[in-house]
This record gives sequence, C-alpha cells and structure tokens, in this order.
Amino acid sequence: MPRTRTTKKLAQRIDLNYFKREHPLRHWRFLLSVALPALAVVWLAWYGIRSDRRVYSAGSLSAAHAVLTKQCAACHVTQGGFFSEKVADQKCLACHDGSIHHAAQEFTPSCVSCHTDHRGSIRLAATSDAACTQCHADLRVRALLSGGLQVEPKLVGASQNLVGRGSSANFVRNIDSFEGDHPEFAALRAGQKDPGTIQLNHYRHLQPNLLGPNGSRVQMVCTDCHRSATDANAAWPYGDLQSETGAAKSVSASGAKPDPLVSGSSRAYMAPATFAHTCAACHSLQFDKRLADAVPHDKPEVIHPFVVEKLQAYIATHPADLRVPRDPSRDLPEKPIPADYRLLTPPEWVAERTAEAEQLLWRKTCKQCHTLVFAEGAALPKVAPSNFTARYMPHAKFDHSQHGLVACTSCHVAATNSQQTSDLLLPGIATCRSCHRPGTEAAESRCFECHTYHDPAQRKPVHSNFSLTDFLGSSVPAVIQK
Amino acid sequence: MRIDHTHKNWLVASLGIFGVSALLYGIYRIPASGGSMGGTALGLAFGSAGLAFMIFAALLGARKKVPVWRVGRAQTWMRGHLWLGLLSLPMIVFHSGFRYGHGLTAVLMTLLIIVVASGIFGAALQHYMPRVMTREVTMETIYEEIDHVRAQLREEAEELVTQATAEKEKAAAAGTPSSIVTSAAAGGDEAAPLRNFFESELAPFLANPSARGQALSDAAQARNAFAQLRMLVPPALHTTIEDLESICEEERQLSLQARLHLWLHGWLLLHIPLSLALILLGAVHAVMALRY
Amino acid sequence: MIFEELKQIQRQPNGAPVAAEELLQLSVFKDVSPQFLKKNANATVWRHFKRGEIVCREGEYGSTAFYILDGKASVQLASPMAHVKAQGGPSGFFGRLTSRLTSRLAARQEDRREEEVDRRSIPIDAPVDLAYDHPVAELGPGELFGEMTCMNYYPRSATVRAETDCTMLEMLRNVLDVLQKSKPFRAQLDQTYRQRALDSHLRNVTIFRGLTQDFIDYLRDRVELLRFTPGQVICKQGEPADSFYLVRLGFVKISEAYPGGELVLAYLSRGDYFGEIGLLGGGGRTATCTALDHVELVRISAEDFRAMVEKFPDVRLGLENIARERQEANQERLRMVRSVPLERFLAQGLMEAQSLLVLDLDKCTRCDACVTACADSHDGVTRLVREGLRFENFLIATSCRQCRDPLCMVGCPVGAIRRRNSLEVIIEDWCVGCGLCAKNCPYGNINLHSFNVETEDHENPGHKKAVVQKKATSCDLCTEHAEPSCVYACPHDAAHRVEPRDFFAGTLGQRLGRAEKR
Repeated sequence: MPRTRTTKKLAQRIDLNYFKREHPLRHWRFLLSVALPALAVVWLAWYGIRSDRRVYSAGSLSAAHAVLTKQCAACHVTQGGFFSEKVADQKCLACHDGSIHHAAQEFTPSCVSCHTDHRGSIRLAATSDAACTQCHADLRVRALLSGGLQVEPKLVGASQNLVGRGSSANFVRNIDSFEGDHPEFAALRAGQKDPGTIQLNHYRHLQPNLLGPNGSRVQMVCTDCHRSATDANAAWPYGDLQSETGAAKSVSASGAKPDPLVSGSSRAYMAPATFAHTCAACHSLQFDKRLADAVPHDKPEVIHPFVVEKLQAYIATHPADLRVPRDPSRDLPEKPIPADYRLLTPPEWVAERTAEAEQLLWRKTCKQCHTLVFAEGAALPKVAPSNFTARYMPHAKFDHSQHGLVACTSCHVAATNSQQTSDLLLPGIATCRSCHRPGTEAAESRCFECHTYHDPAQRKPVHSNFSLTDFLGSSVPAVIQK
Repeated sequence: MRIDHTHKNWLVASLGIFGVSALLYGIYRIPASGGSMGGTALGLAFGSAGLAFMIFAALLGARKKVPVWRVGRAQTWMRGHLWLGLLSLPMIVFHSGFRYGHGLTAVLMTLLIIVVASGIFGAALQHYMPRVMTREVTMETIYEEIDHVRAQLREEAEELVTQATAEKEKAAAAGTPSSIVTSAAAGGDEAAPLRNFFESELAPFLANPSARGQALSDAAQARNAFAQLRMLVPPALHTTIEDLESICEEERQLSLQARLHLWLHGWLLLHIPLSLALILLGAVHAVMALRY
Repeated sequence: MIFEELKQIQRQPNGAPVAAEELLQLSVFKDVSPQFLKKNANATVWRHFKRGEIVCREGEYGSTAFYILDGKASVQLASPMAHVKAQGGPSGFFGRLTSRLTSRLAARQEDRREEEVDRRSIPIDAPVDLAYDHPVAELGPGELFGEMTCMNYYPRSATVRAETDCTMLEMLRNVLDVLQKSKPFRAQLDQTYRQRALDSHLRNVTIFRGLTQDFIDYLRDRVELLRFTPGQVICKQGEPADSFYLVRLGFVKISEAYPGGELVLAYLSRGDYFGEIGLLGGGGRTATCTALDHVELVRISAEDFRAMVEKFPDVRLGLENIARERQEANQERLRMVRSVPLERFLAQGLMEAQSLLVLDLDKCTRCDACVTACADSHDGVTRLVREGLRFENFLIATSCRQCRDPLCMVGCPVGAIRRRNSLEVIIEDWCVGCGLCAKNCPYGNINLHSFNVETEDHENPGHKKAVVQKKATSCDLCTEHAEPSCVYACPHDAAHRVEPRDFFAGTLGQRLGRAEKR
C-alpha cells in the first residue's frame, strides 16, 4: 500500500507539548532579548560609575563654554529633586550681564530659552528668530506711565501696523522675519529727508577733471571722504594738515554726544567727514588777497578776531596800503566822482578790510557749504549745526568693513546722482535682502544679525568670583596651583 | 503579515499622520532654521509620539504573551505594529530636527534605524516568504517538530525496508522447487540491493540530512539513484521504493522548510533585542532630557 | 422474591464458577436451557465484595455484566466533575492579569457550563441515571449493571463500589445474551426500569419536563421496551409512523437515502428521542433509523403520544420546534451535498465539517501564535495542532471540525461527548477518559491529556489523594468568546474559523467558472 498522508496521521506525529519546550530559535531570541538591554544598562552604568553625564548631553558645548564640558554643575542646578537639573538664570548671570531689552517688555524670558547650548560649536548669541518673534510677531507692551514712554493701549491693540509713540518714533507691531514683515528702515520711510545742513553735491564731486589742489585735475572716489574713525589716521589725499586743529574742534563743536560705535576703533561705521580731511585741499578759506593766510575752519566768533588780528599785523608792516586808490569800476553813475585815493588811519583800514573779508566769508566762502543764521542786532552770524547722521539705524548694527567686497555705489546707488544734501543715500531694506535672505546660499537673515537684544546702553560690567579650579578641577596645571 | 489592500486604512492614516507631522515641522522649522528641535514644544510632541509609537510597537510582543486577553485582535495589533512602528522613524527624525545626535542620542538613532530597517526587512520577508514556503514545501510540518518528525520518518523507512526484506525472505523460503526459475540465480535474496541501498545511502541521509555530498539531498540525483535501484530489484518491491522516495522527498522538504523558517524568523533575533534596548535607552533619554 | 431464591443457593467462594444447577434455581434463569448453561459453565462466576470494595472502575475496558444477588452497591462517577476549564470567567481584567494560566480542571461548582440546566442526570450503564449534582446512586438485589460494556465492549461508565458486603454474579456476553432473551429476566429488567428509571429518563429530556406524575404513572405500564441488535433497522424511511422512541441504551443512526448513497443525519444516544417528525406530520418516516450496536429503546405508541401532546401543549410546542429544526437542518445538508460535488473536498471530509480552522498559508508566517493562544486559553493544553492536509493554499488545521456526522460520539460509554444546541461538539465534565472518541475521530482532532487532580481517597476517608486523570479534549470554539482564541490571536490574518461550504464554494465556483470559460 502506498504511503498516504491523512490528517490524523499527520497530526499524530506531533508531540502535543512541543510548544512548551525550548527551541534554539526561541532560546536565542530570549537570551539576546535579555543580553542586549542588559548591555545597554551596563553601558549607561559605566558612565554612571564615572559620574560622566556627557552621554546624556544633547551635543558638545559652544566654543565659549567648551571648557565647562565636565563641569555640569557650573550651569545645571538641582531644582526640586532628581527630575530637574535645568540651567538656572542665576548661573548665567554669574558671568554674563543680561541687560534688559526694553523697559516696556511684557516679560523677561529665561536665558536658556534663547541661548540654548549643547548644540555643537556654535555662537550662543545666534538666537533663533522665534526668540524675538515670540513678542515681536504680535507686540504687546506694558504701559509705562512714568518715564519717557507713553503707550496708548488702544493703539497698541489696534490692527494698524504702525503705532505712534509720541510724534516722531514709530514702531511696528508684527514682525515675523527680516525677509517677511520687517518694515523699511525708519530713515527711509516716505517723506524722510537727510537732516544734514552742509550743502554737498555728490554728483558734482564725482565728476571727472575736477580742479584739484594746486590746479591739478582729479577724479574723486568715495573713500576720499568717507572713512571709519580707525582709518582716519591714514593719509588723506585732499586733507590739509594745517586745518587739523580746527577739524578736531569742529567735531566736538557739533554738540551731540559722540557715538562710541562711530568714533571707536572699529571699522564698522564711517566717521563724519571733516573739513580738514576732506575739503581743505580744494576749498580755500583765504579771506584777503593780500594775505596768504586762510581763516581757521571754526565758528565766526573765532574767525572775526583772527581776521582782525591778521589785518592789523599786515597794516603795521605795510603802511603804504593805508592809501587806498580809487577803483573806477566801483564808481556809481550820478554820484560825484570821489577823489583818486583816500588816506585811511590803520584802524579805519582794518575795519574796512575786515568788513570786506567777512562779506566774502559770510556771504560766499562759508555759505557755500554752511547755513549761516544772521540774528537781528548780532554782529556775527551763527553757523547752523551740521546735523550729520553717522548712524541712520540706532537700533541695529551695521559694519561697513564686513561689506568691503562690494563697491560703495553698488549699495549706495543714489550717491552718484545726488545733487541735494537732503537726498537720503542710505540703501533700502530691499538692497540688504538681496543678500540677506533665508537659505544656505545666502547671508544670515536672522534678527540677531543686526539687532542686539540686551540693551547695550544698560550693560554693566560683571565681576565673577570663580577660580580656574572651579572649571578645570584637578586638571589645572601645577604651575598655577600654588 | 501580508501587506495587501486590507492595509489601505492604515496606509492612509499613516500617510495622514506623516503629512500632518511634516507640515507642522515645516511650518515650525523653516522660518527659524537652526536651534535644537527636541526641546521645543513641537519637538517634545514629536519625541513623545515617536516613543509612544515605539512602545506600542513593542507591546505587540507583550500582547503575544497573553493571547487570551481580549484586548483587540492580534492582527489589529500587528497592523498597528507595522505602521506605527514605521511612523516612529519620521517622528524621531522630526524630533531630532534631522540631526544624528550625540552620545546617547546618537546610539538611540543608530538603534532606531537598525530596528526600523530590520523591521522593514522582516515585513518584506513575511510578505513574500509564506507564499514561497507554501509553494516549495508542500509537506511542511511544525518547525519545532521537524526533528521529531524526522525520527519518525527514519523509523518508517526502516520499517518499510525490514518488512520488504522479510517478505522477500519468506517468499524465497516458500519458493521451493516451483520458483526455481525466478530466484535461483538471485540466491534467494532479491531484496539485498534495497537493503544495501538503505544502509549505504538512505539511512545516513535520514540520520543527517544536512551533511554535504549526499546524493539524496539533491532532488535530481535522488531521482536517478532511485531509478537505478528500481532496475536492481523485482517489481514487487517498487511500491516500497516509491515510499522510500517520498520519505526522501519529505526529508528534503523539511530541510528546506527549516532553512526558510530561519529566514522568516531569524531577523527577529536582531529586531526584538535591539528594540528592547532601544526602548530602554529611549526611556532613559526621555527622563534625562527632561531633567537637564 | 429474590431473597427467597437466594436462601436456597449455596454460596461459593469468590471467583468460583456458578454451577448450572445453581443458576437454574434463580428465576431469571428459568427459561435458559440447562445445556447452554452447562456448556458455558465458566461464563458466570461468583463475586463477593466486602463493604467499600470496588467492583469496577469507570473508564476500564471490560466484557462482563454484574447481577446483584445480595447486598447494596453504589454507582458513582469518581472522575472529578469538571471540564478542562477554558479561560474567560468572570474574573475581570485584573484577575486575568495576575493569575497565571496553569493546567487544571475547573470544578463544576466553580464554573458551571451554560447549558447545564438542560441535563440533570448522567446516563450510565445501569438501570439508574446519576443525578448531575450528586452523581451517586444505589443498586440493589436483582439489578443488572455493565450491560453496555458486556454487549458492546464499551468502557465502564461508572465506578461501582460495594456499600454493604455483596454477592454478585459476573457474567460474560454469551450468558447475558441468552439471559436477554429469557422472558422472566426481561420481565424483571423491564420492571426495574419502569419502576426506577423511566421517571428520571423522561424528566431528563427537556421538553418532557412538563409531564405530570399522573401521566408518567399512566405511561409506566404502557410503554414498551424494545431491543435491537447491531445493524438492525428500527424504522425505514417512507414507512408509516406509528411510534415515538426514547433511546435507553446504545446508539441509533438516523440517515436519509439520497441518490448515490446514504447521508447520516445524526447519531442518537441515551436520552435522545426520535420519531416525532413522522407523528406530528401525520405522515410516514422521514428517515431510516438503524441500531449501531445493542440498542434498547422505550417505545411510546402513536396513541399515547397523541394523548400526551394533546394533554400537554408545552410538550407539543417543544416537539414541534425540535422537529422543525431537525427538518431544516436535514434539508440544508441534502442541498449541500448536491451543490458542491468536489472530489477532493469530499475526500478530505470537508463537506461533513460545519466549521473548519483554516490557515491561509500565503499569509501564515508559521509563528505558532494560534497554538500558544489555544494552549493559553485551555490551561496549557493545546486543542489545535498546526498540521494537517492542505486544501488549495489553506492548511486545514487539526482542530475539531464540528462534524455534521460526529463519529466521535458513537460509543461514548457515558454520553459525555455530545453536541450542544449550537453546533459545537463538547466533552462533558463526566468524561472518564477512556479515549474511545479520540480513536473514533477520523481526523485526530480529539486528544487525551493527563491532569493531576485531587480526589477523595476511599481507602483513607476524609483525605484527598493526587491521581492522574485523563480527559479527552477537543476544540470548544472558545464559545465564551465571540471569536476562537486561535483566530483572535493570529497576527497575520491567516487563521479563520469558517463554514467550509461557504468559504470554499465561492472560490471553487469561481475557479470552476474560469476553467470552463477557457
């Protein structure tokens, strides 16, 4: 009879308790299931024994904090038992000053909410936009009744984007990002003009074949006049060192408190152009053809005695000049013809020449650039302040030196054609955005690139009391350990 | 589990979850590129979802330990295991903000990738292999009982041969003068070739079917061997030979089954232990990350 | 009567053959020919039992019957009244969480089966039935037990223990056979039955529960006790229906002829009844009834039956419902036989199955979750073997098929394996572990498992002792749940419990259709 397979025969081959027995496959599965998690625990325990908690760290510390890698307690504070060892602000503030952002800010976030470490060797100041937009995307401020800030709550809550503060400053309520809702720079908004009073025609100055010093012909470039305070010590092609003294005075005479960012040693900002450095070589301040001297570039109150003194000295050595010949060209019709010459006393001569010189200065030489105000009854005019704007954007940083790879006029496009002082030559936000935009092939466009959260004006020095051993532990070199 | 049209709802739901997550991630992440993801609210949500999915997936193992509990059909759990387990990878990747991590987190990410990859590999195997097994191994039995069944096959073969030999001997004994014509030359032992074949080829093969260089372990060679054997023995023994041949065939199929079975379930040796380690370390990571 | 006879008989030592002369002095042997008794001198022996001694044990195989001459014996089921407990009791989620599954038998008291109310007694191989709640009965002089074992070689259905010192005659089948034909003996047995067992027998059948004592007393003398030898036809399909039968002993096959063969509709055993369809319908017999072994029936004539259904409308209603159900089921089966003529399908016996556990091998990863699930829900004992023949790409797993024609039920000495009102075949608590059903099942779906149980120690009263008890187990479809555990636990959607015809007819039909188109 051939072999047959029936259900019953097949079933009866099977030992009914087979599934209770251990089988190699299942056995190994069980062994490995115990062994591998156990291995994981051993691995963690190994770190635990050495109390090395770096294994739990999300990443290496920022370069500035890298020295603290093994000193968790330098930042982490046990708060409320085992389950919280977060970073406390007080630990940050032991070394850093976190000055307040704005008096009217609604709340003060914790340090780590913006400056998150353990993300590799990054700059902690490079915070995410979210840190800023958590407020600025829908800005609400606390009403400050005392102090300079007057907030009208209604306007703050209103839908309009621009909210007036007083009459001049505007601020924007909802900014999501630089490339998105960031408004045009305040200085460039509609109707804004350069407040400067120095008459300057950029167009004229950039023409070729200008008459330069000593009758030379020159082609001027931007950096002939626009330099940072640091570079001001280098040679100026159109400077006149004789006017240096006056130059310094003229800057200080502008009245405003000097901006450290402008006058400091960085190359970030262009220092205000000075007469001595940029104008003197071409623009002579000679006041009398008899004299080689030019007046100092200073206030009328200084110039007047200077002129009088110079003329008095001159007449003392040139008495012949007291005899003043008639100038036929000045004869007026229907008036008696004056004598051929007049003979003046020296004071009379000085007074007359002074009047002539000042007529020249006040009405022509000075006035060519400056705005002079002649007050009634006053003998001398007043020079209006230059209102030179060294930083157009007081709430943001800009560094010209970082932008050195591009020609000045590629951003300040309007400069070559500008004929009026009132023309604003500041590039607009669109110019910035052409490079500063999101993406890996573009320049940084996050808030921190231009704005500083912590108000620099409020910043105070911090005096920390750590010792090197606090951070380095026993690895401090013996030389330092006394 | 076979991935067929019955998975449509799970597929749609999984794609939905993935889509929503990717969208949330995109909305949240793109404007503020950089910064750590895990610690933010959305990052924590992704992390928790990922861990929850992993734990759910791991619970399938626990579920299998208590098959009688009526806590949802096993196949529902299996579907959940497949899809949510798969989803845990994007969740964790979103949680990490596409970073590999550092220290523990790097280990976790490595484990997760291996676990998910082995899972996908296993799912693919379990999708295709059963059909291969059904087609190739028609005489399969229970994997754990293969050795037991083999022992029985050995006995059966031995029994068949003994019986055949005994019958022949009896016939030879009974075959006195009248059958001289048929068996005189053969010396009365027509079953000898069968016996020899059994001892030299079949018995060793049945005793150790996995040994190399055996003719019977190859189907074609076995067919030849049996064809030769048939020529050596009288037709009366052919049914026995047929049975022996079928025993050999079964033996070969069982070898194949054992091999296929290892494929079907071997990957679990990697998948299960690693996933347990993953969940253990994942829990440690969750506690520690919330702590610091 | 018996006592008087007994006084005249000289007692012989235990095991000594009973002389023919001595036997002839007993009235029950009066009609038996002395020659026969002389020829079979050693077929009857004396048995003396001391108080407390065991006469026979349940589950043992034997070939003799006992006739009590003197003393009292108790009949009881020593097997613990328990079934292999399936999980899913009222213990609740946490209860299940904490308790580890172990192999055990659940005592009936702690875990009652749902349908238990239907049966209040256990049929045994004696003139009395055992009450379910207290499975002990008493036998006295003049009573015969062990008939079924003797005639049909079934295992002993109960344990008999001498209550007082007893004397019995142990006889072999040939003697019993002759005795059965002896009128006085029969008369005595009939008498005993009518007096002692008819009440409980009738009352055990659910639908007759409404009968009044008066009516039973009326029936007591009117019923007829009939005997049939194996293969004897009780009634034929198409004959006029003239009586209603209750099965007292043995198994009756109910079958219907259909073109090309015979279809078994049911096997009836003790406590079952038949013949109502013909009587209620007023026509002829709808099926042929054949005795499978030595069968004893209680016949109620058409007249009495009509009187009964008229008097007790509840009984009528019950019978009518049963009759309708049976007819519908029969129709269904016949229709099915005609609709799916697939040879392999039939060859594997799939047609007979009502419910198959199939594993889709294209999906099955052979993870064995179904087996562990089965074992877990049945106290560590699997009732499912993941091995068997294939049909198409389906493995027909070895697990009870709930056959329409349950061969396993034939021969159960205690009627412990039976079919519930729903389709599943279950093994009742009083299973004595004889293994006959496992032997009978053609598919290997019933297995015997040994359990360690504690029972009353009879040698040492008041103490318990551990004994190994065998119980037959088969798939119970996890009826306490909506879905069998194996199917529920399959993670790959491969395991299904299906009605084979519905499940395969569709695919087979489609395949056939396609083949024809080509």
